[in-house]
Amino acid sequence: MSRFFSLYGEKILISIAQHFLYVVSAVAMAFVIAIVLGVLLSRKPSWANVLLPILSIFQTIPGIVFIGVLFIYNGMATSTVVIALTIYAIFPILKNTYVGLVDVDPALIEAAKGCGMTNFQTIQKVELPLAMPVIFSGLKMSTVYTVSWATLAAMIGMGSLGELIYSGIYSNNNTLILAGAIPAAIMAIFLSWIVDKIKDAVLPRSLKE
Amino acid sequence: MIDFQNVRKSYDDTKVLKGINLNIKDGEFAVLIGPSGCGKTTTLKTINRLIEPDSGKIYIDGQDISTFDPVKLRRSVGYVIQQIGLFPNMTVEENIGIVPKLLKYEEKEIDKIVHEMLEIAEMDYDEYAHKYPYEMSGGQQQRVGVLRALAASPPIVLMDEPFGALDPVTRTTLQNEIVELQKKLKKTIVFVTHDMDEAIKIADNIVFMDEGEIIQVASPEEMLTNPKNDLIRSFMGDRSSDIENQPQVVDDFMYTNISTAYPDYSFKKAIGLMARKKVDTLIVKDRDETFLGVVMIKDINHKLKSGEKSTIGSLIRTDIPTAYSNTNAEESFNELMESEYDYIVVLRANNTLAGIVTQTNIAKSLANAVWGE
Ligand SMILES: Nc1ncnc2c1ncn2[C@@H]1O[C@H](COP(=O)(O)OP(=O)(O)OP(=O)(O)O)[C@@H](O)[C@H]1O
Ligand SMILES: [Mg+2]
Repeated sequence: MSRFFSLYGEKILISIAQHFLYVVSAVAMAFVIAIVLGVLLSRKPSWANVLLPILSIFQTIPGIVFIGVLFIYNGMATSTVVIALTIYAIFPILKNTYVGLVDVDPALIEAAKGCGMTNFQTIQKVELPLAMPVIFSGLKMSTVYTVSWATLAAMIGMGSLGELIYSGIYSNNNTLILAGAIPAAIMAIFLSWIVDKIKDAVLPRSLKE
Repeated sequence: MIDFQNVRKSYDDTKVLKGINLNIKDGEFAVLIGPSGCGKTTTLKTINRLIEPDSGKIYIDGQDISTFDPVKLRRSVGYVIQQIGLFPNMTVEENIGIVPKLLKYEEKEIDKIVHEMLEIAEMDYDEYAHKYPYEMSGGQQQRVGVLRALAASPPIVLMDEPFGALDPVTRTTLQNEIVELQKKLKKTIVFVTHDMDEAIKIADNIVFMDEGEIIQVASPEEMLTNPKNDLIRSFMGDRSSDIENQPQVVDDFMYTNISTAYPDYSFKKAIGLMARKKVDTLIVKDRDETFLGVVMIKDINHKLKSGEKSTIGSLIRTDIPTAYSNTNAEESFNELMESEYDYIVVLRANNTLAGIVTQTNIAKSLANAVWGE
């Protein structure tokens, strides 16, 4: 075992760091994009009703296909991985943002308007805060998914914990597979715990269950 | 002043407002009432431009509101909605301070306003300011809803069935509070309800609407006595007939246990009598009971100061309103309202004294007629 770590220890640490950065940067960007798109879609539910089903079908395209296509255009680059992961990470957050926003009681939106809020202020001070609990569960889902999708980076030679897993599979080295899989599992649990913590810190007590 | 001029609104082919003309004076408590779907809410929301009329104009203090920035307009008009409409993500303090905050008042100023507002509702700052709406009763929430509408001191406050969701007891309390508040703050209030009891209780003027039209605008008393059509009569329920069964001539209202004096009483004797009876006027009559007039304590005191000693006969005022005991009550009420005295002397046909009717008598009798014993 110690031989294993002296052989792969550094590699594991680098892979964890790489993986972590892929996930965090992709989810962070996806979060911002999803909120903006979610707000826009919630103004036009008729568009949302067309667009969201299309996006959910798109979501079923295997990640490896998408990352491969992007690889052709963008080459072997960090941006290829992050863009692909971001695009996949958007959907769960987008869908929840949309649902959370359209579920806000219209009476409250009218109260906000009646108080003299602009459209932007209504979204910022009332609609988004009220949608936050739902948005956070989308964020959590998206984070967990992205941890597993990020293993695909290895497919285009861009590292991540996937590299350990795939080389373990090719070389029939179970320890190597576990050396990739266990940190990935822990990372998923850890990040969803972090999301919960952020949620607790951000939401007023009236919006926590 | 709010002035509606021929305001119309349609949704597709449905005419919701069919030419509303309405004038609401500064400091007036106007109550819109009518069957469900008659256009009360629509009318109300045209005032803060949550709804834009298809045609017609609304003026506030002579200015056409369609020329205002709607956002600014809404910050200067208070608005309370039926579902309470407090923001669940904000504390009581944040809810009350929201309009001042939108108006970019300084933090200190907002804090002061929140304290003042909670004080108005007799809600302890330390106890309530940091509560969220879900941590309070419905009545408390609705109080906060009203306070939020008042926080930026708007001269006009719109209320759409604000007490509709409350239990009857809380509702009554809040009705009393809002009437008192309006007297104190002199707001112009436009209030929507479908509860005639509520309307009668709080309104200066009731605006009765049906199918997008105003049918009658009248004071509660006037609407009770002269409902314009059967629909209004049915909204009034039994009350209109109640008032018909109520005393209709002054005789039925009057006090007969009154303090009288003869013109040959000395000042001292009159003052002694007034002190014992705890009154500041005496009705003066002749030995044969004929009514002569009244004397007032201030007139006597005036004379005493100048050292005069005489009888009250020289101080009799004869300008007090009088009515014969069979006079129609309403007529004499009107006279009383316009007079500087707070009572009317009631006389029998032969000009002898029968009694007096005070403003309190009238208020009580009306209250009984309107709300039952
Ligand atoms: N956005 C809308 N689209 C179509 N019809 C509407 C719309 N808003 C209101 N209406 C219709 O306009 C009419 C008047 O509505 P309004 O809300 O003003 O009635 P209301 O007198 O306040 O009734 P209620 O006592 O039930 O609150 C109703 O028939 C209603 O169905
Ligand atoms: Mg209504």
